[in-house]
Amino acid sequence: MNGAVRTILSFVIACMLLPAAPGNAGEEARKDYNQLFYSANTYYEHGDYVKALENYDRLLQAGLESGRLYYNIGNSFFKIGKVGYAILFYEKAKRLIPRDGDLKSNLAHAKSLVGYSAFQAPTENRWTKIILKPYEDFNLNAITISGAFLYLVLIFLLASSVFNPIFIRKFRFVFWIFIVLFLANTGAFTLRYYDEEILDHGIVVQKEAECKYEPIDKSTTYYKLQEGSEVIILKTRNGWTQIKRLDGKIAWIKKEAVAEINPEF
Amino acid sequence: MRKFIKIFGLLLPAAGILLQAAAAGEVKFEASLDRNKIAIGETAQLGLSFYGTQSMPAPDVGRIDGLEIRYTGPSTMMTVINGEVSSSVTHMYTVAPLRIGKFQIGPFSFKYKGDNYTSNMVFLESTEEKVAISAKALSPDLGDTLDLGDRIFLKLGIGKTTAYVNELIPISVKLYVHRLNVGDIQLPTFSQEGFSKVEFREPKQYREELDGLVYEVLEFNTSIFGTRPGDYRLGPSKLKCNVMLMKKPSRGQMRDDPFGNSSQDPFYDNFFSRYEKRPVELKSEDAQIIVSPLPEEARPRDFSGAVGDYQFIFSASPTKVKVGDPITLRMSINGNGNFNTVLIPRLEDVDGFRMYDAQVETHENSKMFTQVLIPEKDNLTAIPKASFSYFNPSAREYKRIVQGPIPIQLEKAKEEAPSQVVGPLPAARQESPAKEDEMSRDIIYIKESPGILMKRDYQIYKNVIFFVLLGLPLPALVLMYGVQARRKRMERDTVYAGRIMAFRVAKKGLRDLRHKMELEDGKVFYEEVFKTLQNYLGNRLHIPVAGITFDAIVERLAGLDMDLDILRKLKGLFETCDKARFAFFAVAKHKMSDDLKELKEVMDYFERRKI
Repeated sequence: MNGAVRTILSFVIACMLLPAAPGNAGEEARKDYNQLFYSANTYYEHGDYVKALENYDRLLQAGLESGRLYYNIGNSFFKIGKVGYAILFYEKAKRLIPRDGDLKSNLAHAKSLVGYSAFQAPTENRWTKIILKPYEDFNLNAITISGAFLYLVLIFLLASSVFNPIFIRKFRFVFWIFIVLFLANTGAFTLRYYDEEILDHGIVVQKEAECKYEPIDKSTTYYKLQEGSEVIILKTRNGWTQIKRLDGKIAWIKKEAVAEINPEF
Repeated sequence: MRKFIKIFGLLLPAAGILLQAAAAGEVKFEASLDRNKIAIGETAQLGLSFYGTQSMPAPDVGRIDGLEIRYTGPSTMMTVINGEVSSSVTHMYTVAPLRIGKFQIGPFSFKYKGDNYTSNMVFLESTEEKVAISAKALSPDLGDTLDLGDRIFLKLGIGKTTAYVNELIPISVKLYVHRLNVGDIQLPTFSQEGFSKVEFREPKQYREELDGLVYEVLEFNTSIFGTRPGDYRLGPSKLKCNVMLMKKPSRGQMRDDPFGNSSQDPFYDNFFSRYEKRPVELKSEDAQIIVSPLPEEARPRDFSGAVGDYQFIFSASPTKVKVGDPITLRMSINGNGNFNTVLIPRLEDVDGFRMYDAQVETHENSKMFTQVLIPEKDNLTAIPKASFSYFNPSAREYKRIVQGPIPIQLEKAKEEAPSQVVGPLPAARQESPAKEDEMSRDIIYIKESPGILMKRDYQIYKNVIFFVLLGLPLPALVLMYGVQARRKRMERDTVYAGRIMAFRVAKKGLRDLRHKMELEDGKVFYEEVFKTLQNYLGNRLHIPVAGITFDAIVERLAGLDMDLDILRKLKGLFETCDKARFAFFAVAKHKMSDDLKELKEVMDYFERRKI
């Protein structure tokens, strides 16, 4: 690789990562943020989970996030008995570090404590399951990058076929494999994007929240949801949130009883 | 998603629909008249309908004393309701009385492919004076404001006008149709503030006589319940459908009657008629319902809103298990009432059991809760009592049914090494003093480093630069395809290659000539002009460069519609070149400039004309 190419590549990577960098304060700021995280961990080690949460929260207030940060927050909530919030933050972490084994275990454990619900199972159809299965351990960024890689391979194969038509005739099956992989990747991205970015998932954070037919205190209770139950948030009005249980039943719940996994900032 | 019911041709004049018979594969034969009383000189429509088939020929009706019966043709109909298809054929006859009296028409017997079919009989009375027909029913024009009067209307029926909160109120919406073709019927809608969502069941279809008129009725049924007390108005119910109206051509001797009535010869009426689809929205009356609150007095503590009259059946299996093994509880609520508000019966004192959320199955008159309980202590002897409370609106009192306890026999579980991560689980809804300890013990420790702290909600797929960079190879690929395709064409298409070469020669030649003109050496300049001309025309016209003269060019261009001025300029250029090259005559700079312009014009002309 010659110098010019290396310079261009460095510039490109810098351009892409610049928006993700934590502010403009550079190395010093990063050190401060890391220090905040470590001090929160120290509080946690000494059993002061509330103080730990305060420090973790300062990182969130600074507009930062990481899968590990959410995981530690989830643990802290779990320790003070707020299992609903613990599940909420584990779910947030899962969107960033879906492969993490510790996270999977703690999330499964927290869910088992609040009881299994038949309505927790997402009602995905068979094709959705087939498409998403290989990407279970991928977050959206990873799916995007794998899609970009497959796209570039396809471009390369097509470009090769332009100058050497025999190449594409010889490796036609390779070309089709990449086409299929690219389409599957695009399908997985679309489904996950819809699920994570378009649908507004929430977690019930109160013990046994009553879900009503109408956003009125006196209205009839339609069903009750256990702490930690996952719902889809439809809209919020006058202190009430309209939710859809994963089996499709729509009801109104007190706004404070449910928290969004991926709130808009 | 709202279901749409498609009905193609719900009715034909004087035809009845019996879908049940059709669905069962049975062919039914029925006779009907569009009206039972007519004046001498008028005609009635007799329909002989076969339901369940469309391939039945016209029966011979024979002669009836005092009546003239003439066959006008068949009419087939297919009805689709929620995917179930029924078909029928109706053979139409015009009936004209020849004298005053009462006539019996039918029963008709008809034998086809070995099967005998017998219809019912109908009666027709002929009078001397014209029978008055509702002006609405014979609305003569087909204007923009369609008044269908009593031919099609909607009725909202409610089962009760007072009810308690959560008490079911039966609702029916009936569509009445008399002698009209109606299609594309949608489900009724109505405003329902203060009530639960309306979900209609499959509609029923039957005939009903109202004020002497026989209507085809489509009845939509459902039940709703008030969700909060108050005085409400339910409805009006609205229903959208398309009405098929018969429209006749505006001929002087024919009456424009949208419903097919005519005082002219019915043969012409039917022959010249055509149907036009008109969308209509029907509206029923509204209705008042008073929703009362449930009494506070004597309300059981475990009452969850169930209103109706229910029975509660409680069972558990197996009853002999080991500690940690699941026991399935089945709690069935049966009866009449609102099952939407029936929640799971309450188990008393579940200490020592781990509980899971119940699975619920709702049927028309029952709701089944299946719940798994896991005994976690070996001193448990019974599944605790379960209670279900409801309000009975007929008796106007709360009732509480208690079932159980159900005895169980427990064996001690074998000792097993506890899981490192997920240990014994406490009951979900129980606040236990040991809960915090169990929680502390069971989760995996925190992460020691924060990983890469990113700006919140940063995603690479939201990065414009990423997508711009990703997009760049695509136009590059298209460009490569273009270049490669052009290169290949240059290789195999010599004419195309010659034209491309000619263009290049022209550009280069003109550039050199401008430079050589500055030298003011006529010989050098015109040698270059000649060379440019030769190369350009040789490539452009696909002829050998060495043999190019004006005559050779003219010969090559023969048959083409060439501009004479261009040919003249070309000839002039060749002549000037020859003189300058061989006669050594002096040439002024302005002459060279003019010739250069002419050369450019000639080449532009060839490029433009794509010669």
